[in-house]
Amino acid sequence: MKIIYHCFGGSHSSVTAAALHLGLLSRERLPTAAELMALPYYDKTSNGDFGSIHYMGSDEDGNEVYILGKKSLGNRFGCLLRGVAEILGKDNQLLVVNVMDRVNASMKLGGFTSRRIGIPALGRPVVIQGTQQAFEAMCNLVETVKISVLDCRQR
Amino acid sequence: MNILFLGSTGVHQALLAARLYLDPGLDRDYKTLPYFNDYQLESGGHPLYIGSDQRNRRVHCLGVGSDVQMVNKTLRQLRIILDSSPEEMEIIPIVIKSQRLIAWLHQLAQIGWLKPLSSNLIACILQLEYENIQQQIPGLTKSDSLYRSKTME
Repeated sequence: MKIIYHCFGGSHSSVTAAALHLGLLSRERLPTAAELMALPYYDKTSNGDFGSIHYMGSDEDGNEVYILGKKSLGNRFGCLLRGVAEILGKDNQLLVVNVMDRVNASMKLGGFTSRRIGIPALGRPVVIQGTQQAFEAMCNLVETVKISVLDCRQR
Repeated sequence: MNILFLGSTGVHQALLAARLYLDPGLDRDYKTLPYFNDYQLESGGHPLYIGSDQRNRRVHCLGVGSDVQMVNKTLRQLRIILDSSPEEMEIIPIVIKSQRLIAWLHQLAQIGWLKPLSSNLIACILQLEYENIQQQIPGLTKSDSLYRSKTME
């Protein structure tokens, strides 16, 4: 199965959720700033990355995990990707996960300052703090996704 | 085999392109096209099946928001990720200058009594953009209309 985590920029929340899914971050404790910055794509994307599907790795069951920044397309984006997969007859191979509802104000403000305005010195500490605050919610989301994947396999 | 026309909305320029692809001699009274300016269908975000061409390729249209080229890129990458060949789905973006205005006018269609006004104004805009839309449909020439048949649903 292909799992795509998507958020506004594909730079913070989707990367964190994908890293949790892949076990690149421990769920037992909050990640440090260094651990977050060591993640591929974390606070490193540019405007040209909008719409690009980046491969993050494969999980223990062989599911491929991807991240994607889709600007402000919202939940509609999931319908759109599923609809296209359905046309190709491969909708059972795709799981699209919107991470935006787990994103807090610090992540939005910090992410905007670091990536859109281009002042990482100001935005990065704020987005990292926001990621740590949202970490439990993201762990919860990833657990839900893993259960969904198991359900899909058993069907 | 599928052909997917993308537009900022799926029930205006992308729909017109799909219909023109199937029937180059299409009547220019766009308001009468099935799905035209349908607010409910557009808000669903799903591709709309329009018909099949002579080579039995299924033709769809889809509304993807203001950044059509970004979603075009995403869908091409999705096709690769899902191990599908370009022949399985040809993606054709339709970009026109007045797409923001159309999207704004389309918002009026959610209010029942404003829908006729919205549909009339959008049909006028599409009339002005007709040649631009036509040029973005690959292989659509006047001679096509002589032999391309349609199978509408």
